[in-house]
Amino acid sequence: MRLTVLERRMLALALIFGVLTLTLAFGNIATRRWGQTATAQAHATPWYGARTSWVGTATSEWPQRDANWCGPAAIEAAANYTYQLATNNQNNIPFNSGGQQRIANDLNSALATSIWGTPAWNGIGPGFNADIANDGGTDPRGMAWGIEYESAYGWYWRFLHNGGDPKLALHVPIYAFHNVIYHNDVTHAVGGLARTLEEYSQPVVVTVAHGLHFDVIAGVYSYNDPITSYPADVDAVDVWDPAVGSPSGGYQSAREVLWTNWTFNTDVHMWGSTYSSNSGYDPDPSVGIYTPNTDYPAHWIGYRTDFEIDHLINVLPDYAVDENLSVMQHP
Amino acid sequence: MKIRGGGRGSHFGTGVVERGLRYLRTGGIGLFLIAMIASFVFVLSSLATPLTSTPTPATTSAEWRPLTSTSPQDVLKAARSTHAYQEALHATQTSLGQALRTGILGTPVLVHAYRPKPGMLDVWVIPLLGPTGTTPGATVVGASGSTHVVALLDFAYDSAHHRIRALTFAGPFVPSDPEYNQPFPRISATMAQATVARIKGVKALLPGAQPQLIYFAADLDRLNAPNATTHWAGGGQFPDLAIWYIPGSTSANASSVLTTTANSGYIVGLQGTVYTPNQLPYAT
Repeated sequence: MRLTVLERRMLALALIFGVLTLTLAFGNIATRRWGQTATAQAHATPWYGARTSWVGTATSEWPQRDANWCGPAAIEAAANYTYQLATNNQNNIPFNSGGQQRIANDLNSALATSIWGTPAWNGIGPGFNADIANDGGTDPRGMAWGIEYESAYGWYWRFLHNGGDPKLALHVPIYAFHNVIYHNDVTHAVGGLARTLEEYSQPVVVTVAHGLHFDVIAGVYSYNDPITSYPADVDAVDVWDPAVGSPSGGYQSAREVLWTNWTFNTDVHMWGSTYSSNSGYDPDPSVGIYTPNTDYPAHWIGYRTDFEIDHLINVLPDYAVDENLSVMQHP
Repeated sequence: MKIRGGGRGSHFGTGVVERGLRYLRTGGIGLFLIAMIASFVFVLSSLATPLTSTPTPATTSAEWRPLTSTSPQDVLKAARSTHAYQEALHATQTSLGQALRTGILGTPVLVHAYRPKPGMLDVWVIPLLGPTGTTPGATVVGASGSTHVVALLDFAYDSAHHRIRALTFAGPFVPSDPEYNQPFPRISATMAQATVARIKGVKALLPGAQPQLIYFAADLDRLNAPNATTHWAGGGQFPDLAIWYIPGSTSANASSVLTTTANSGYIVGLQGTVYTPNQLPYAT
């Protein structure tokens, strides 16, 4: 028997409703599953960075031993961690008691002098021979040089340079450290920092408090992959302050504080502010290619800056790189 | 003709059956259509109800969590629901994660913003209690099995909208931290009141006024400058280092003093030192 027109129409309608029903039902199930997954992922937002227990060992000499030594203390932490990683041994740290003094001595040595020299004393700075600015303490160029020089990679470079047999050296990957200047907004700056933390799993020294201070970032929590999703949706930043426990007290309540990213990005003592001259205590460079001029009136001032590990092994630590890791040829 | 007649008679009988079957088939198809429509309506109505009672995850660290009440249970429930807490709890690579998994959350303590700057809110501080000696790098102090504060979790409190948001999680504390091996708050309200009352020349305390834990916007740059001339050990520059404000006799309203520039009352610092409000190193 052939189907009547009415029957055909009813079957077609039933089929349409069936398809709609199945589509909605499947969508509902999928949404529930995705919703649950999103919640589960949120509860296990991945950590990108170093092992904090190792950072604790790397900072065993903290707090900073002098009011002006946040730089040497931060270098100490970053450098110690490179040795821990190179030997896969939490306790292998070359800088413990007396470490900050040794680093300060190195920053004042002739070896530390930039390829452009050191500025003449102006009554405030330079605080160290490694500076290219009349900074009252360590300037960003001095920091980049100090971290690289004191790191296992610096040791490795010197070992090879002095004719050492590479087979006798530590199994040290060949890396370099540079001052990174972020000219874009804080989200991109934190995203760049997170990218490096993911790639190298080592703490990163950052300039905070509008250039007055150096802290160490051990890692971040991020909703998405910092390398593939730049700038990542970072949720929290783990900050270590060398001044806590010193007479000054520091910029946070304890040596290690996990800052929610919103708070970190808006607090003026973290990355809620940019580099400032701070009444002449943290000026821009006064020797070399980064000295501001009429075309480029600022180098660090007005931006955020940190010291990141990278693969630019043929680029001296005198040179800064921008947010795209391009070597800067001018301020 | 017979054939036709006979045929007609046979065709008539068959036609009745066929018609009956057709009606039956039509009816069945109609019922099928009704069932499909009913299924569609059912699924559609089920979608209109909430998918789950779990809060929708926030996508940024600025997330707020609703606070049903300010009871310790509700504050802890809201705090635990934040992403910052959950991600720290589940992090296997961090010492804080380890401390959160082995410790217990203590009673939340409300710390008021004293003379608040724009955007400065009161803060719920939740102590994380851990077994003595579990703090990485800590020296074992105290009786075996006792607990002490190993970290402090801070949540901004938006009282107008009944909600909280994670700010900072400090710790695990190490010996050089000011909070290390200390209770929170550092001294009790009773002790703070007694300290003020003992000071010679202090005016009578405001009857019925309750001491309030406070923090204030400190001039951290001035305190941390290498050539700093101001050294501040009184505390209060962070909620984790909360200090006591005790309304003085000249204040008409204790709570209003927290949001005005009134100079009445006394501050009891971390070490038990008594200050007047004007002695605090405020940010300009």
